[in-house]
Amino acid sequence: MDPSKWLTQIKRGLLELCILNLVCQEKMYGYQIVKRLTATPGLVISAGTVYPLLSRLKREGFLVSSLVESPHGPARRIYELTVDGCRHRRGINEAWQEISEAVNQFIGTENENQIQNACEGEIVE
Amino acid sequence: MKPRSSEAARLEADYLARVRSVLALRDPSEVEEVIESLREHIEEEFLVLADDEISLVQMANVLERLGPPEVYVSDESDVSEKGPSVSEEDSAGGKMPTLVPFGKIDIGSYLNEAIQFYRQNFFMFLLITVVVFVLHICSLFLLAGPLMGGFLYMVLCALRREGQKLELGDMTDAFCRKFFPLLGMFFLTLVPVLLGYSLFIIPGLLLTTIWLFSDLLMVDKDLGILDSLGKSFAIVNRRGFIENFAIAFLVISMNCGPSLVMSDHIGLIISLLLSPLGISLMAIAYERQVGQDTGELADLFEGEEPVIAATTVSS
Repeated sequence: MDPSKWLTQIKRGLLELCILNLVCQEKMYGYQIVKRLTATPGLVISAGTVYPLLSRLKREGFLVSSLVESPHGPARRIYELTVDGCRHRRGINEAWQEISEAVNQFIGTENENQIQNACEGEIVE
Repeated sequence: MKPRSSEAARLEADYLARVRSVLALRDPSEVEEVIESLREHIEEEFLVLADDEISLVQMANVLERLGPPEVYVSDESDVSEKGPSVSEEDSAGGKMPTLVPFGKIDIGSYLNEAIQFYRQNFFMFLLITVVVFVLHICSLFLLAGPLMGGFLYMVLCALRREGQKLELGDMTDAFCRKFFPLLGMFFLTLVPVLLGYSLFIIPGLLLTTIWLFSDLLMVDKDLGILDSLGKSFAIVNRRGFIENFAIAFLVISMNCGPSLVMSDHIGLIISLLLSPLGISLMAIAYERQVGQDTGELADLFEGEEPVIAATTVSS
């Protein structure tokens, strides 16, 4: 599998986690969420992926939105977390921490060197 | 809303129409929410801009950052995260957009768009189809041409309107404005088309294909009978005969198929239910190939102005 495709799949799942955590810190409007996410170097996402996800999270009852007048331009759709959203965020945060700790055991420096050596050995053979 | 150049407005409208099309199978309210969010996003992007008018290049850059419409379903399907290619440089050193051409025929996306449009206007479509059917019967099909032209014009206007709602006034406008030309064209084409269908269907389908846009050209571009027929033929050939043949086949299948296959009331009811979808498909095909033309058809319409501006399409 192409690593970029694999990364895309991973990012899709993590995007939900990022959005829920962002909105948990403060109420945010769509554009603000997109800007925060797209400005984070490791994520590298298209802004267009965020809006359907916000809509889905809303449909699933994890977010609610309300239109608020903006002094600078069009009315802004402000998103905030619901009680269900808070619970869901806690759940996926814990799950992510467990998974990342588990995965990190396999990609630690020591293991990495052994695996690298083994892989190189196979290639030589 | 910050003013846009006509090219920028077209590009934005086309982008939003393509997003709509990609999301066509989702819940309409969800699609509307995404479209509204995108509009807000685009406005926010231009808030800091000092220029009076948004240029094509500025709009293309914002849309490029949003990503190709396909990414809007990317949390369900495997789609590349590449943005639309914006590679060429214009004389001012800015990037020129090379988004998918406006006229490119993608039957799947036309169909998705038609389904969404139909769902959105279902009850109005149902009502108007029944009224039109009754008028057809009462007039012994004499009014078929003007009614069809009016119906198509009503759908086209709705496609170009904010919110995409059908309005009966559009139908009566085209019906009255082009009554005699539509009537004349209907009778002029009726005999060859019927003859064609009686000769094992294919010749009839070929004629339907080459005259696919004749009604719409007449009501939208205010053309005469022969001009509409000739230009429809030219457009179908330029845009892709095979693809338009497939569209004509789908339209005819939806409009007449069920009542031909099932020779009872159920067939007729299914035909009545499906015909607005066929008409929507035809209007969307016209809008994407002709209404949003970026200049490839300019020689065909020199000196002619459309009755309704296409730049507001699907915004």
